[in-house]
Amino acid sequence: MKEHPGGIGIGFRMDLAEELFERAPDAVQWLELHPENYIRRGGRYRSRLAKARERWPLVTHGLTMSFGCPRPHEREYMDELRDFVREVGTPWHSDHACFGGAHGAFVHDLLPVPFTDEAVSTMVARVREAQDQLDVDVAVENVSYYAAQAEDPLLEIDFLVEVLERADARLMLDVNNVYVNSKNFGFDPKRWIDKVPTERVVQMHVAGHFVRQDGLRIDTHGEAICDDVYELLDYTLRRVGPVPVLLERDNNIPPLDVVLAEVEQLRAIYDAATRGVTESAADRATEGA
Amino acid sequence: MKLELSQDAIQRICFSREPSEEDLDAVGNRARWLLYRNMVRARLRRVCRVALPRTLEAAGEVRFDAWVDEWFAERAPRTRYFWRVVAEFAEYTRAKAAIEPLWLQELMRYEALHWHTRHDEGAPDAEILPIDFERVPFVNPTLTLLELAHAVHRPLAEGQASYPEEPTHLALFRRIEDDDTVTWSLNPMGAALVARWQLEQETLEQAVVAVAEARNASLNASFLESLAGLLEGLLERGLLLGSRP
Repeated sequence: MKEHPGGIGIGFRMDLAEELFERAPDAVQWLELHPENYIRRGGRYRSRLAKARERWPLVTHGLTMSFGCPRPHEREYMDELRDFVREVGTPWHSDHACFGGAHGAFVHDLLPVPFTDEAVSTMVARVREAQDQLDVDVAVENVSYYAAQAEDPLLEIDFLVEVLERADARLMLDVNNVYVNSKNFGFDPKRWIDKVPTERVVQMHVAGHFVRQDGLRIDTHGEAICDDVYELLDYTLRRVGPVPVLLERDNNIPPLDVVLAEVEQLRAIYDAATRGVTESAADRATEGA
Repeated sequence: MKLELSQDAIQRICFSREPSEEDLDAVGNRARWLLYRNMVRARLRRVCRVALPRTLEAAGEVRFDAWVDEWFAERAPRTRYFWRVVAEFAEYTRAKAAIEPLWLQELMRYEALHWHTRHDEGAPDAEILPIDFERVPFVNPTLTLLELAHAVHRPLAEGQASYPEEPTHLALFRRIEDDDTVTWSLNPMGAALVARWQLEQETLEQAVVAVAEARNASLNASFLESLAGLLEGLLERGLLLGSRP
């Protein structure tokens, strides 16, 4: 059985898979993958998944559970997801605080939900359903958004905390999303981070984003991580402790060496920020928040 | 506004031909929701274009994109699996849109099936034994047979604007050993035999006899020689895996 994930991981991408297998760099300590890319799928995706399992701890991160949707989860999907997370041995499964479609349709994007009491209740219900239907802890990820969801953007973290507390869920803390939202809606990202219930955080995401000519920042996962996000990650790790950090790169995927250089930079920040702190995300996942 | 109603409005903004003023007013942040509309549509459109490049080229971007817009408005993706979006688009468009000429419709069908075969699940579910006439044949589980009126699997030759009529039987499957997706053209007898074997309800020999009888073919030396060649080719290419236990 693989160890729990720790340190720096990367998203498992087909574009880099063969080279990753060949070089098996020590800097990459675990891999994250999207179940929707593997369930009901064959061919290279499945064969490479099997190979990845032999080498790295795997963590699953869903794209379509849609915690912000008023309708219950599709049972067939949840059954397949439960089997999949068992198969890969993930210590927790995360998905997004968003909605991704209604009435059987899927937008294949992460659309925001308003920071309202109704949305909190909806999300708590969906997270609890997921907890009942999966065999692993469920973590909720904060999303980046471009349409304001409340007059005070800092309400987002209050909204999320209420969801986490009422559903007794974990947090997948996306540091880049906090930063993107802070720039788009004008708030101090550290004030947002200060309100995070650190004991609930099991994993973090960092990524690059795109800055449009009009200044709007779009969470593309297709650029290099900017210095401000590295700095915010450092700040966050010092508060939260050594939880596994994932480098998300889903578009404009560069050569593996470029990815590894970012991993090394993350590793340096991670080591400096968490030196002397021993509690791990695995401890949190098994001991309860 | 109730959460469900606002989400319905947002979904309509994303997928309708033109977002309504009523929906945009209801959700507020007009420019930003139009940005979401563009992002949602661009991503889905891109995967259809990537998966069906020859259909896109033959139809032209304007016509192809009009099909995508029609599908957004009338159906929208029903699958949560992004790679399956292509099959849904192609299926809807072939059924609803007036795709002329027929070869263009067949090209879309072929390309969509090729994409689907490349990604869909399917692996041997039992031990594979050496080929044996007295056993049920073990056909590649990813196989789909396609009967077309045009040989659209071959790219158009330079200067050629359309495909002439040419009855075509194609076998599309994913090779077990390397996951490569293969297209193989069969003659009508070969296609009939593979279709019968694919049912996996009788021995290889029983299936051969049944197909030969149905097609009034004599099981003479010439037939058996052709059959041997066919079996050799099918096994070599990985369409026929062997025999079932």
